[in-house]
Amino acid sequence: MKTTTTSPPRWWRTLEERTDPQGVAARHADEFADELPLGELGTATSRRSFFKVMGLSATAAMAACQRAPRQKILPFTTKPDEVTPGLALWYATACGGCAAGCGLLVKTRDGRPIKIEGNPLHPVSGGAVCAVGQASVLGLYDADRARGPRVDGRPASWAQVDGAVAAGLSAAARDGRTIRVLAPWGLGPTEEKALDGFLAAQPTARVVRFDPMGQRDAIADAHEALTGARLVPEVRLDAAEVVVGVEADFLGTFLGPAALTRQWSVGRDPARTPMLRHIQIESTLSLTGASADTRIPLAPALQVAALARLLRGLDTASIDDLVAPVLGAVAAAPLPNELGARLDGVARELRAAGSAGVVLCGSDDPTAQLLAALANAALDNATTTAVLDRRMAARAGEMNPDALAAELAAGQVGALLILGANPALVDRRLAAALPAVPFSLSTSERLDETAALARVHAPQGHFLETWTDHRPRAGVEVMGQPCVAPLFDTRAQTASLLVWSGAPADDHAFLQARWRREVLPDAGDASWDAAVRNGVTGKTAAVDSPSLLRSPAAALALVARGRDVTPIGPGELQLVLHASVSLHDGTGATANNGWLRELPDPISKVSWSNVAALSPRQAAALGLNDGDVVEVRTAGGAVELPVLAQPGLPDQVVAIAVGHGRTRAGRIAAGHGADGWALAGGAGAPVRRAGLRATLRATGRRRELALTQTHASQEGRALVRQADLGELRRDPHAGNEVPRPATLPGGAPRRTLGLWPGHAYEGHRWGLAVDLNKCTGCAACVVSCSAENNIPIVGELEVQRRREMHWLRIDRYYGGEPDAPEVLHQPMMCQHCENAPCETVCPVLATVHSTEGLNQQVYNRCVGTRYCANNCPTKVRRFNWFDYDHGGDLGRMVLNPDVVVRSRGVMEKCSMCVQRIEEARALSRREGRDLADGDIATACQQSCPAQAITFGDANDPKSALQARRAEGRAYTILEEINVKPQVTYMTRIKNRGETEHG
Amino acid sequence: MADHASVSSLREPLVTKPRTLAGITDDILGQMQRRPTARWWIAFSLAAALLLLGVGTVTYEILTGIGTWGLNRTVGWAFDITNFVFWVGIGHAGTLISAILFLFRQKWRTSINRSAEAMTLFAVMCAGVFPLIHMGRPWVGFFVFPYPNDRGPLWVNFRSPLLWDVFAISTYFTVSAVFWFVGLVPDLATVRDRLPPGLKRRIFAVLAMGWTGSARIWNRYETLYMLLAGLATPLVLSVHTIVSMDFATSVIPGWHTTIFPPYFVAGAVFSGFAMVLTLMIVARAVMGLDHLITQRHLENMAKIIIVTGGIVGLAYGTEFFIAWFSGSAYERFTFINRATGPFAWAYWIMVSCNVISPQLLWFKKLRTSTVALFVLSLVINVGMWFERFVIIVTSLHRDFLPSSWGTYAPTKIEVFTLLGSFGLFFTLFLLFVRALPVISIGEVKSVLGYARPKLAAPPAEPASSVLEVA
Amino acid sequence: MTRARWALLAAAALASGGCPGKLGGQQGHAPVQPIAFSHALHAGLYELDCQYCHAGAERSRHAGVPPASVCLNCHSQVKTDAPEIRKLTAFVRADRPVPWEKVHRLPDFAFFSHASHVGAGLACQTCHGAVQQMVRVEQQETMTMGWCLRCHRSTRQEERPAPAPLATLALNQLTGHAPIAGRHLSPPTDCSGCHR
Repeated sequence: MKTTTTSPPRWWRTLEERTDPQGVAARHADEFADELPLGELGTATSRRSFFKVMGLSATAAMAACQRAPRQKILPFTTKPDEVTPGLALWYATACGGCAAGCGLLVKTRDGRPIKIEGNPLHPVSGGAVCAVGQASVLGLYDADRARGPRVDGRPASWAQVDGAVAAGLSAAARDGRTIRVLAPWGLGPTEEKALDGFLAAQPTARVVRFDPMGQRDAIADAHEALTGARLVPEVRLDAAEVVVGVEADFLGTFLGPAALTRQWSVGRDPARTPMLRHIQIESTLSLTGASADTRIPLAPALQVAALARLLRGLDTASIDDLVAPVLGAVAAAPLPNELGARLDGVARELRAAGSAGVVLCGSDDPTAQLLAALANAALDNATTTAVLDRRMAARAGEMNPDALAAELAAGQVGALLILGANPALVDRRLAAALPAVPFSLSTSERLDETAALARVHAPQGHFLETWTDHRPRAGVEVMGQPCVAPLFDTRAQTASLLVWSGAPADDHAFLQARWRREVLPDAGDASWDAAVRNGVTGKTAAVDSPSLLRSPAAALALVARGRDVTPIGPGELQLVLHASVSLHDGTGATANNGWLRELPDPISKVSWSNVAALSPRQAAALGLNDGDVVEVRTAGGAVELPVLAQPGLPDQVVAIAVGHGRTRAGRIAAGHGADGWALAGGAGAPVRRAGLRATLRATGRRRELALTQTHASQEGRALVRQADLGELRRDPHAGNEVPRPATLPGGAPRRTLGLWPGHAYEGHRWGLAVDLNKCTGCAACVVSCSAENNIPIVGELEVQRRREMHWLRIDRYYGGEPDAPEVLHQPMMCQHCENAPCETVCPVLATVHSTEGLNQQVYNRCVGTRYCANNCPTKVRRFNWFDYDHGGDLGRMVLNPDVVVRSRGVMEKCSMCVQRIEEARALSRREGRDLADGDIATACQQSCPAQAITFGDANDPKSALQARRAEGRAYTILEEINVKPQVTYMTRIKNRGETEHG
Repeated sequence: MADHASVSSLREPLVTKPRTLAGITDDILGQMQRRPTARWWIAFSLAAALLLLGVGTVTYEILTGIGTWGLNRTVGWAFDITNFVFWVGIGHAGTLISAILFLFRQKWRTSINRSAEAMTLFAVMCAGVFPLIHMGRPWVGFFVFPYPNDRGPLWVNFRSPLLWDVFAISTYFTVSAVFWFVGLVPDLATVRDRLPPGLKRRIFAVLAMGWTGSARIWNRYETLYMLLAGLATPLVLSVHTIVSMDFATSVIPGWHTTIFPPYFVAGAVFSGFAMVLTLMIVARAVMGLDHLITQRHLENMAKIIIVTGGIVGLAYGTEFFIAWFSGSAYERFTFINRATGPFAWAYWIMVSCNVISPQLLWFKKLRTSTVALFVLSLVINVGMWFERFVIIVTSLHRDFLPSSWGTYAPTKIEVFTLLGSFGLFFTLFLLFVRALPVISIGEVKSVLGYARPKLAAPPAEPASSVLEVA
Repeated sequence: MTRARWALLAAAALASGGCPGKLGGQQGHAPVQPIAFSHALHAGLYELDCQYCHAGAERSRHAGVPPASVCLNCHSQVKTDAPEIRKLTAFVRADRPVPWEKVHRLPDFAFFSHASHVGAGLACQTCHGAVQQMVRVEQQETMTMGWCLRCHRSTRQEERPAPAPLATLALNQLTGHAPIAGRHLSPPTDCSGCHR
């Protein structure tokens, strides 16, 4: 697959630069050397600014007679077969953004990955990619990634690194100290195999499994106590009828959000009977809670009690020998009666659903996870919705971070190898102990908080540079092939482990060997090639679930380790540290990714920074307004953050997103937000993400929040429409306007009056449909749009000035009571109005209607009067207030060459991905056929994990678009002003069950 | 102008002090011949400083980006277009006075029309700056002109009110300039004849276009002047009508309003006269012309202000009524938001300046007090600036989708640009009063009213001084 | 505002005074090439097919300039000692690309696809002139927007029939739709046809 050679420079913008760096550098140094008699003055300016100034002297004629700058064409000396300049190459690979291992298709141009899309062949993610996955291609070009290995803080060669490792390991063996390998969850099977090799070579070595949010650790502990196997269940919502999320943000950050969103959206189809019923019990207002049918706010202190109450309500007869003692042992705080009643209702619904019901718990408290696991056992869903499969169990004898901390404190650890993770940020005990460890090493991709403390930094490359694989489900293996040669002097983790275990091998060879031996039906090249081409192989196998242990001993031991749940008094606050959609691993691995930092939080709409979220009542009681900076203090420490009054929070909770305030993530991350982990436990204490007592102190200072939306109410305008499932079953137009008949009573056709004659669409007529019932607001589409359309990052200050450039935004409205608000999401892009107000007012015809119903924006014609934006009823037009930086030479490599990079002073907006339309059309013409429905997918549509967006031809009666528009839920906004949008929205449907009424 | 020279004996004299024809010429041209006074220098250096500030600021803005202003994705226009409409409005009184009052034989206009026309030109110049600099890419501003090109060819959008503006404003400026210059010609000749030989005389000789003052020339001159007056009159209505369509033809609640054309024209005349008042009061004080620019002039203008102010007030009321009557939720919200929302302060400044304060002019005492008129004229100018600000910003900042609601605050760059436009205006005006006769000598002489029995026959003088002009 | 920008301002003002060229800037542009390659010889006399060298024209936006390896297909045998060929082999030996001078240049905001035009059966000469007679390639057409549109519009009006799909494409069809007969060429006249 190699599409680039490793000849210097290691990274390059154009084939020209790759092959003739000196020449390019020379020309860039003095762009006008040839054409203009400017001497070295040219260096201080650019061609663009030249034309600006030239234009300023108002000389059109001169512009015309200006000879274009001379350009060189530098062809390959010998062209790689698969490369044709101007043609994109697509590679199937696996996402390394989190442990889920979703399937990706990576678009590369001239050897540069520029866009990530989902791989529809993937049996679990099925073509869904989350915002983080979408943005990971920008991470490849992160200028702050490690450029090479370091030993004792100084740049070193890989030979030196391997030498240091060998010395460190033998020293540990000599001193009789142990060797520990701290590994994140979700290493690929090949990496695990390499790790096995290392463990075999180092008898004293043991693996410490580390999950920043502590969820997988706790889940594994719970299942180990119940089944003896360290397992994390694989959730299958497509088979579920009732899902109860307890503190589990499974549509946003928990386990595999993209795949779970895809499955959730399948179940949420109102035509499906029964429609998936979603109940969320949580202490923050998460993306998942926002989409739930029923949401029960719950302070962390009551979590265990609530789960116990839930478990009591289930049919536990078959497993009472486990449930009874556990429930007896659990110290549960008393629940308010009203809350208890609602929980009983939830339990009744679960019970009715049986094995089609599932409880997802996202707590880091093993006791809570134990109760959730028992609930699932009671529902007997281990083979249906919360699948437990022995083959997916982690290796026996793995430790958890607390055990490691104890060893470190005792000074027993002689060598600590940290694979990719950043524990020093999360667990201050490790941070404190790390320098004292005789030999420590980190393989993280940048010199992060942990790597900075380690003796050796052996950086692994970006997942798009290395051979990786994943096993998202027993029997299914995903291939992660590299799409570009390493940009920097990095080495794959697998390769490193192989070297350090004394069996050096290239990661490619090792992975291929394992696949041929273990995965592929026959070891032949054909099947290997197919696996690489498809990126995924195998099929969902029959589940081999472990049976429950019959003795509660282990479970009781776990409960004994449980936390104090003494209820907090009035006026006291409990801290909740949670992951956020853009930093969903919790350690801010993506903190230096501009696309994700500028992406507003789907609920709070704050971009770039984190906040201390309080319930509106609590904020009022404390006399705090949005933006007032407070000092949040726990036993662990203190941070200063601006306050945000967040509807839907329990009054006792102060919620802070973690992963912000990184000091060593890079230039983009620096100075945005504060590090919540400082509160999580402190030097001696174990890390706790929820339930710590917190005190607030107003500092009297204010910090403006970078909010992309400042008004939360719809003001009674029918923008987002919603109805209950029951109503919909009775009336297909429920919550929506009943369309007026096409003919008047007399039989005459009904015409809407308009000043303009209207347009004749002879060929295609493009349009979009957005199903608000499926949209969760996860914002994958926003990032995908930014990547596809070269949308610049403007920075926190400019967002505060309300100048973010997103072509596609997601409007978020609140309804109902601030305690338990209805949250409504509405993706808002250019509506491509048929009577477009912007088109009539542009003096220079820079925005005009196409013959296919697109509202076209012609950047090179735009003079920038902003009249169109003023006259846009949806305010989706974006103006280039400045010349925006696209991340320098490295950052610019991600730009899509099929879309113009807009200059300062021009208007821009959603084009319905016209470049994709034209590309598909050109291909179909060359193939001598017409465009077919489905040939074109806009970037937002392709990336939508919930498949809420449909693009199509309104002139094609059989198109999927028309099918959606024919439904009773279809409507367009602002019909009253007769702009006739070409974007159709579909009413949101709530499946309110018994709990709501009973 | 001999044919209008017959003045009724019932009327108040238009020139209060008895003056000889030569005396008139001396009074007016004296201003040009004497060295500039200290007061002029102070005023001029202030104006020039503001102008420089403006030039510097605009240069910075053009080289850096519109981002230096306080605009955002919700509010795309604010100070820029506010200033544009404000200055265009100012520019109205000039043509109104010189053309319409002329056609209505309003003699009293004679001593103020010259400077009023000058004011018009300078105001339109100030206005013209803003459409250019508010563009994101002023260096391709020439796209707005329909010129032959090899882009297909690619024309301009004749449906766009902004394009109508381009034509309306440029026409208005051209006609006003020609009208003004034609009016100047006889006086330029007077200056020429009074100057000693030299460069200055030669310049004025060229400008005077060989004026001899013969009866035939006077005859043709007045025919031309009449025709131009007729040509200029409809423009007074057309320009601000078209400017108002920038807003009226849009879909934005608060802009999409059918009464804007008359509303804007009335407002323009209103503000225009206020500005004329300001300038005249200063001029007659500084240049001792109060026998030519009399209380009566000021009072007449005050009356016009009462009328136009009334129309403006009516328009404000009508907007609210229609907003309620329309039944459109968006309309209603917009106007409630105007009066009670975050920009209510601006709205109430506008109302008190434009509707309440002019009512004081019903009192003759105030109407005839120079000081009171001066203060009121300033107040009204402030109010009219705020009217445009309110219309533009309050309508934009909260329109259809609450999700995009925002706010707006100006940066100092915008404030400096506004100050700069005042600098440009006053610099030009101060140069004008030094370089050209501020009052139409010929016309004033025609209203001296020798026919009055009360008035003694003109004191004997060498006829030459008469010949100089007639 | 750097010194340079002021200088540019001055330079611009000067240039605006004495503007030598004529409208339609690039017409007649014929830069000297690093190797005196003659299209007249190869395309004219020896009648090599354009796409033998410019292989991208059929599939990609860019027609592409041939890699030196293509030249060497023949010139490893033919006229190896000729001075110009020596230059070529020198480049190849140094593993450096031949720095050809670009002749036909479109601004970066105009998206032109060779594949679409070749696929529509256009002869290369329609836009590039009689290259087979050019010893040194020269831009013959103005290549302005108006020039493009004239052809696009007339082609639509005349309803020229579209040629049969190219064999190479019929093979690598992405979707299994069968070609349909009797199609007309319909080049885009919408802005977004070229400006995205």
